[in-house]
Amino acid sequence: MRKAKSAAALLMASVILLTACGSGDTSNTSGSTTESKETTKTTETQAAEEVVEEERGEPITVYMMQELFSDTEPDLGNEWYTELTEMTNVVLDVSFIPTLSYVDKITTTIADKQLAQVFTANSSVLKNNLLIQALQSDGFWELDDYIMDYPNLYEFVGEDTWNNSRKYGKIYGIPRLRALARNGAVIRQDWLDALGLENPTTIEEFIEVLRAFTEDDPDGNGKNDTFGWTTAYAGTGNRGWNGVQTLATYLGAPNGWAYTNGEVIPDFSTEAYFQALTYIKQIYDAGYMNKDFATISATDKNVYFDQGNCGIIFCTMDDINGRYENLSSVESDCELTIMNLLAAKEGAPIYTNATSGFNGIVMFNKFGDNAIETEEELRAILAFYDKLCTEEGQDLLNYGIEGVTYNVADGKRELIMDGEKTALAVKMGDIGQILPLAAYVRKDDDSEMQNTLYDAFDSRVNNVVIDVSTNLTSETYAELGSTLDQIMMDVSVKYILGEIDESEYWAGYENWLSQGGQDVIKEFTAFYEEYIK
Amino acid sequence: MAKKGKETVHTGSQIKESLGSRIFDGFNIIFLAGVGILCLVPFLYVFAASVSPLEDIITRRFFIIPHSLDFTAYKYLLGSKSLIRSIGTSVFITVVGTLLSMTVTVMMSYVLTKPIMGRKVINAMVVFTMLFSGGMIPSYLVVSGLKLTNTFWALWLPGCVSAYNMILIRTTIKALPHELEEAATVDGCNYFQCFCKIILPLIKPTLATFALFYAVGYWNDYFQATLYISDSTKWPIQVWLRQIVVLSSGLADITETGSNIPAQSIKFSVIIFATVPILCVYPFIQRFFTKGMMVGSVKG
Amino acid sequence: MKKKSNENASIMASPRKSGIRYIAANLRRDWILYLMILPGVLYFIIFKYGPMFGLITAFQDYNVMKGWFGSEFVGLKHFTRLFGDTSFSLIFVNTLRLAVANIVFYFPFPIIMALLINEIKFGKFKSLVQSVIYIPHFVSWVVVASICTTLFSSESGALTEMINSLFGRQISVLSSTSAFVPLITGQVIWKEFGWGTIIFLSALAAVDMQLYEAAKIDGANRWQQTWHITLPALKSVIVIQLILRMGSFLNTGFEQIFLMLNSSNRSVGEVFDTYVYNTAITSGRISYGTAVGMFKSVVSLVMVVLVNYLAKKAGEEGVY
Repeated sequence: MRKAKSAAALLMASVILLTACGSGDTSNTSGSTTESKETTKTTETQAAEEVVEEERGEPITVYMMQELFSDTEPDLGNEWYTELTEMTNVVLDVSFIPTLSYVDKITTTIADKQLAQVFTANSSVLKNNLLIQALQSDGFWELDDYIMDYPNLYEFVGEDTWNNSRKYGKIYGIPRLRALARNGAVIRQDWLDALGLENPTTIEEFIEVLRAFTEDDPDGNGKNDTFGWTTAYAGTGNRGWNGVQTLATYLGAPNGWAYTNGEVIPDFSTEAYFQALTYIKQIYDAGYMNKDFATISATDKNVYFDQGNCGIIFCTMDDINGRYENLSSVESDCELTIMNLLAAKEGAPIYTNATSGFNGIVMFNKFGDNAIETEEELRAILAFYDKLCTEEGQDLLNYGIEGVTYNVADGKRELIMDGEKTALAVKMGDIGQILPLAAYVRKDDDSEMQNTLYDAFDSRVNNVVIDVSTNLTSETYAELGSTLDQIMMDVSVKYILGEIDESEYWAGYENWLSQGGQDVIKEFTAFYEEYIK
Repeated sequence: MAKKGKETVHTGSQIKESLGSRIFDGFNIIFLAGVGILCLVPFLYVFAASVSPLEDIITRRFFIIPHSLDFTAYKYLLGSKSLIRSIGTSVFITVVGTLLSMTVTVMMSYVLTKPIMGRKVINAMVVFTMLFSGGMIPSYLVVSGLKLTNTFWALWLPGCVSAYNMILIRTTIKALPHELEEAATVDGCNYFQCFCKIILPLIKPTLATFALFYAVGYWNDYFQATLYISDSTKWPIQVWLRQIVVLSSGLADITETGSNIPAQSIKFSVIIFATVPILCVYPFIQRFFTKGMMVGSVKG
Repeated sequence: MKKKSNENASIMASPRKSGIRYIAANLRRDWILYLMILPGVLYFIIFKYGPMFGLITAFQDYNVMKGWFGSEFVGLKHFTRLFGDTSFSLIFVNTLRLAVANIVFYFPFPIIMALLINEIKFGKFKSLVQSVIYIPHFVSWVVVASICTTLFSSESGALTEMINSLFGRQISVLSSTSAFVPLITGQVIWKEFGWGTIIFLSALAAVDMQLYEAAKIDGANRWQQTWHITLPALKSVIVIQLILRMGSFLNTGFEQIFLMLNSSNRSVGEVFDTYVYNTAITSGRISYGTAVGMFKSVVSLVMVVLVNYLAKKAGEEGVY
C-alpha cells in the first residue's frame, strides 16, 4: 500500500514537472518560433530583393560535401570563413573527402540517405548509377524555375553554360565554370628564340619545330638529349587534352562527338582524325616524341617536360603555371608561352577543341536526412550563391581580406604568400570548387606568362568546337563506355606504333561498331534529337 | 663404429662437421643476412628521405645514407593540425578496438572450452564464417542499417572478433592443465572468477601476441575508414597518408590545377609516423611470438 | 561444491533430455558462461550472418529510393548478365594469374627460408634474423603502396634508374601492365614471407632431436638428414597450408591491389574483389556488385570444401 502511494505520488510529481517544463518550453518555443519565423521570413524576402538588412536572423548552416585536393582541410573557423558568414549570413559545414574516394563516398552517402545538402557532382559522379536513380526519382532540385530570380548568379554563369549543363533537359545544378578554350599546348619560348624560330601557325611549321627541337640542340649543351613533344596515351580519360583530340580538331575533326548529317558521330570515324593519327605516326617514327607514350601516365609525361627534355607539351593551358614552377627549379632562365592554334594548312580555318565551359555542377539535395526540404531553404542557399557572384563576393573569393590575404601596394592588390601557396589558398582550402568562381580571373599582379594565358582564353572563344556528347546519355555507353573507349584507344596507339596499317585501323573501327559502338551512336542521336534540338 | 672418409663419427656428443657442411653454414649466414637487410632497406630509404631536403630526393642524390639533413618534413607534419589529430585518432581507434576485441574474443574462447549446451552449434557457426561471407556490399548495408556509419563503431564492430584468433586462443586455453581450475572451483570461484584469476595470468604470452595482432589490424586499417567515415576530423593516419601519396605522385587524374599539392618530402615523414608506433611496441611483444603462436599453429 | 560436480556428472552421464526443462537447467547452471559468450555470439550473428541475408540484394534491382522492400525482385538477371559480360573472363583471368603467381612464387618462399633458418646454429643470429624478417608483416598496405610508389616513381624513384638499366628500356613500374603481377607478387613476398616462416619453424621445432642424432650415427650427412627427417615432418603442415591457399585462391588481397590499381594497369590488375568495389561503390550499381561478390564467395566455398575433401581422401588431415 505504501509502495503504491509513494509510486503514485512520484508519478504525479513527474507528470506535473514535465507539463510545467513542457508548457514552459512550448510557450518559449512558440514565442521564439514566431519570432524566428518572422525574422527568417524577413531574411528571405529581403534576400530575394537582394537588400542587406541590419536586422538579420540566425545565420543558416549549409551542409556541403566537397573533394579534397590537398593534404589538409582548412579550419572552418578562420578569418576567411568568418568574413564569409559576415557577408552572407551563412555558416558552412563542409565534409572534405579525399579526391580518389569522392565518387565512392557519393554512393555510400546516398545509400545511407546521408547525402549532403549541397555537393559537387563532377563527370564521374554524374555517371554514378545511384545518383542517376535518385535523380530520376526526384531526389534533386530542378533549378529552372528559380535561377531567373537571382540575376547575379544567372549572369555570372551565362545562359549558354546553363544550357550546356542541362541533364535530361533540366538544370540540376550550378555549373562550375572553366575556360571554354582550355585545351592547347605549352611551348618553350627560350628554345624557339635559341633556334631563331617562330611560334608555329600551321601543322607543317609545327612539325618543323618538332624536328628542330629534336635535332638542332635547342638547349645548347652540345648533347643530343632533347626531343620535340611529350604525350601519354595510356588510359582514356585524357583524350581531351593529351594531344590526339586537339590535333584532330585542328585538322577539322569533331571534338569527341559531333552532330553531322543527322547522326551523332565519334571523331575516330572521320578522315580528319585518321589524318591526325598519321601525322603523329610520322612524328613518332622520326623520333620527335617520347617513345614510351603508350605506357606512361599523364603525370609521367610531365616529367620529360619538367626536366628540360622536350619543348612542347599538350595540356590544359592553365597547366603552364605548374610546368613553369617545376621547370624553373631545374632551369631557372626558361621561358614558356602558349603555342598558337595550328591551321591544317596556310589560310585554313583554325579550331580549338573546347571544354564544355564547365566541369561538373553543384547539386542541391532533396532527399535523405540532410535534404533541403522547402523552397524557402533552397532560395536562401541560392541567395547565398547570388551574393557571392557580386563584386563584393568575388573579391572575397579571389583576393580575400585586406591585410590577411592581400596587401595594397601602389594601388594594386598583391596576394600574400604563405610558403609555397598563397595565404588565400591556405585559408580557403578547396572550398573554391563548390563556390562560384570564374573560369579565370585577371589579377593585378599577373605575370606576363599569365597574361598570355588569359589572352589565349579570351581570343580563342571564337574558334571553339564543342563536344556534343557532354550532354548526351546513352545506356550502352554508360555500361560499356570504358571498354569501347579502350578499343579505339588501343587501335589508335597500335597504328601510331606501326603495328597495324590503315586498313586494319578501319577494321578496328568496324569492330568498335559491332561491340556496341553502333548502339551508342543510335542512342546518342536519339537523345540529341529529343532533348537538344 | 668408426668410418673412413670425411666424417669421423664418435659416440657421444662430439661430432665433427664436414667441410661441405661448414661452407653451407657460411653461405647460409650470408644469405640470410642479405635477406634480412633487404627486408629493412625500404624502411632505411624512407627514413633517410624523411630527413633529406627536397632537391636531394628529386635528384636521387642518396640511397640509404642521407646526403644532407633537413627536417622540414617533420616540421610540416608536427605543424599540421589534420595530421597530428589523425595520429591521435589512430591511437584511440587502436586502443579501444584492441581492448574490445580481446575482451570479446578471449571470453568466447574460454567459454568454448567448456562443455556447455550449444557448443557444437556455436563452433560450427564460427567455422562456417571462415569459409563463406556475405561480402563487402551486404556488410556495408548492415552497418548502414544500424546507423553506425561515420562513427567509430563502424571501425570497431564489423571486425571485432577474428574467428582464426578465437580458435587459436581456445586451443591454448584447452591445453592448460585442468587441475588448476578444478582447485579454484573447489575454493568457491565461479566461472568468471576462474577466468580472471587463473586462466588469464597463465596465458599472458598468448594474450600479448593476439593483442598485438588486433592492434596491428586496427592501426593499419585504411579501407574500412575510407568506406565508413566521411568526417575528415575522424580519419586515421593511414587515410591521410594515402591522400598525400596520391596527390604528390599524381595518381589522381586531376584536371584541376592543384594549387595545394604537398611537396614530395612530406610523405616520408608521414610514412614514418604511420609505421613507427607499431614497430615500437613490437620488440616488447616479440619474445612471446613463438610461444603464443606455436601451440595453436601446429594443428593448423 | 561437491554437489555441483555431482550434478555435472549426472547431467552428462544421463541420456540427453530434450525440452524446455533441459535448456532451462543448462542456462541456469551456466548463466555466467552464456553471458560471457553473448557478445561474441551476437557479433557473429549480426556482422557475419546478417550480411548473408543481405545477399538478397543480388537478386533484386536495388533502388536506393525504394529501399529493400520496395526494390524489384529480378531473380538471376544479374548472374546471367555477369556470365555474358566481356569483363568477366578478363577479371577471371587476372585473378587466376595472380593466384598462380602467388602459389608458384610466394608459397615455397617461407618454407625454404624456414629450412634455412632452422639450420642456423648461432642462437643469437637466428633470433635476430627472425625478428628482422617479421617486421614487414606489421606494416600497413598503405605504407607498402606508398613506399613502392616512391621507389618506382618515374620522376624521382630511387629504384627507377636501376630497373631501367636492368631491362634496357624505360619501364614505368607503377603503370605498366607487364610489371603489375611481379610488383604485386613481390610485395606479398616482401611483406609476408617472414611471418609465414613461423608456422613452419614451429613444426620444425617439434621434431624430435633424437631422430637427428640417430641419423648422424648412421652416417647421414646434412642433406640426407633434411630429406629424410626434416621434410617429412613438414609434410602435413605444407599440405594444410596449401589447402588453405588453394581454397582461397580467389582472394587476391583486396586492399593491396586496390591501392596499386590505376587506369593504366587496370586491364591486368582488376580482380574480383576490386571489380565488386568498382561496380557497386564507384559506379553505384549495388545489386550487380553484390551478385559478383556472391558468385566469388560461393565459388570460394566450393573450392575449399572440394580441396579439403580431396585432401582427406588422400589421407591427410583436413582443415576442419
